Amino acid sequence: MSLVFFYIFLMLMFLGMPVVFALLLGPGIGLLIDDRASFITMLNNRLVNGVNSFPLMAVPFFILAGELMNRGGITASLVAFSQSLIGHVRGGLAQVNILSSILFAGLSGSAVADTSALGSMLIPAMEKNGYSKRFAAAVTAASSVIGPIIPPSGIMILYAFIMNVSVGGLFAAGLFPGLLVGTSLMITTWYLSKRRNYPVANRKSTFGERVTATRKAFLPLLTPVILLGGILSGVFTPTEAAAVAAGYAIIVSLFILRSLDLAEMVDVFRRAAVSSGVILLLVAAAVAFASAVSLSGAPATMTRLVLAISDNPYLLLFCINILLFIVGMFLDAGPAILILGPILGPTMVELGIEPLHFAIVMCVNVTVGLATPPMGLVLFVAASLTGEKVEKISLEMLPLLATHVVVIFLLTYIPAISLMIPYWIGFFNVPEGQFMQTMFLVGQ
Amino acid sequence: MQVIDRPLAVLGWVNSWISRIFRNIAAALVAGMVGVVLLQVVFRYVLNNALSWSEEVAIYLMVWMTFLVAPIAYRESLNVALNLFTGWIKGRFLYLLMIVLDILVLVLIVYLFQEAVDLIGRNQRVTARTIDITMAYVFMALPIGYVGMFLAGIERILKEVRNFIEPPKRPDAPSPAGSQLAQSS
Repeated sequence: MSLVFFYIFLMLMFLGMPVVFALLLGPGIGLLIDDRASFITMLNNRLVNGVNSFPLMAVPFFILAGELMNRGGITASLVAFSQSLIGHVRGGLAQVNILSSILFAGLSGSAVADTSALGSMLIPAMEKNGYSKRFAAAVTAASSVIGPIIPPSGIMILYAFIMNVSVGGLFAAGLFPGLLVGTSLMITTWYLSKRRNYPVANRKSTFGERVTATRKAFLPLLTPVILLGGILSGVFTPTEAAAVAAGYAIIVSLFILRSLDLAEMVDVFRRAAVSSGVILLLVAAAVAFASAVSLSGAPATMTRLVLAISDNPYLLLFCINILLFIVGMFLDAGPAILILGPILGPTMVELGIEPLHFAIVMCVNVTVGLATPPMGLVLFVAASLTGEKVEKISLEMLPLLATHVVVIFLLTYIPAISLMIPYWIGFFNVPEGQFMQTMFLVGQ
Repeated sequence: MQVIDRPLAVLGWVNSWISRIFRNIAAALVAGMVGVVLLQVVFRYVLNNALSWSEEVAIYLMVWMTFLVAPIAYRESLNVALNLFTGWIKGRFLYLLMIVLDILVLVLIVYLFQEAVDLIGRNQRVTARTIDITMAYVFMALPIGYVGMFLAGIERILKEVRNFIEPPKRPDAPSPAGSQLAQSS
């Protein structure tokens, strides 16, 4: 079977056809040309099978939970909590922005939700405090990519689904990398704040003030603990945990905080349904496409091709990162994972890279892609929040993007950062005598 | 322009009703999914009695939800697209390109609809694993979704043809790649 279908797919996508349809039409037309029409008669089956998955159901549930928390006034309490902790340092609000992103990441699995929730609150505050609008937007966008890296994470659920790895394992693997992205951004911001003499946000909070802020943020801060604790200890499957989180958010916002009335609640469900439907249809189409990819033998061809260039894992990981970074500049993270995962993953696993490690490298890289110009979803959101041009924000974001790149390479070449927690919990085994190789890529 | 405007108005009215109904059903299905999965947790931990049917039911609700949202997403251009190069194309050519792409999508939808009807026919007697319904009821979501998408596609094409004949003063250029949503990201 030839690769015609792939070229047709690429052409349609570059012409601006929605990716969902290009994913279906590519193989559809390509296989007609190849005279293998039996594929397309199975297309409906493949589409249904694409969403016939219980683990995948965590996606709509996390979207629902995120939407509920976003509307329910939880963001404000997280920001107040962060401010009481670090508002007094130089560049206080910028640091508060990043810390809030880290905390928010434990509740939501979406960078876009993070940008819009924190941005609409913190960008005006930063501007009033004396920051440029551009820098405020840049910090918000750059730090919101932590959202899908620290669990829960929509992107990781998609990766786990299409590549058949454990969602729990991926969540466990994402924890340290997410914190690493966060702290690295804080260090860069600290340096920038010193040099540009950014203001402090408030005087140092007293112990009493911190206790008050903590108490107010206690319920939302408990959510990630329940979620992660439940998933990693095996009490819930990720999907059940997501449903519990959504149920918890419904009860809190309807009865305890009373931040939503019934009509608003119905609207939240409508929006969650539409956003999830769009993603699930994309997943379904990607599954159909992936079966064409594997029928065509593309992964094997790819492996041969790649190994012909080099069998040095350092070099290949470097090249793949560059490739993913370029793809991330143009394509949204979800489709990037769904299309490229099945093509690139098998090659790297063949080379002895632990699947969870490669998963993190890929997820973090395409997630950072959400904040890279010219096509970056969180950039667009930040631009529409501030009215600044995407290019201006991107320019201001360069030091932060450089930080992202450094972290991506750290994660790539020190697998232990992502693998330690899943290894301790027991999500994978390391063959005898290959510990150093798996964890640090040394001593082959 | 009458030739286009009249049918476009009627179709727009029909489609907005379809969207409204499908959106509400989809919202109810999401609520149902949450309910069923929470019930599953409660039964396992509180009543110590694992449900056999809950996962499968929740999955079928999700299948229905996905295909009911598909027409809404298509009509409102919510599907992620790469609008990098289309940004350079101006005026009439852009609308021409959009017409061609939407016609291709329509062909796909018509084809999928025919296949879906066949699929339902083949599954009249196939029952689901853990619940007592035939799979035909599950697959029923597909043709319903495709009909909605077909109507949405015709509306899109009519709009694009009108814009092609008489480009609007301030072109409502397609928004940047799915910027309105993509919550997974």
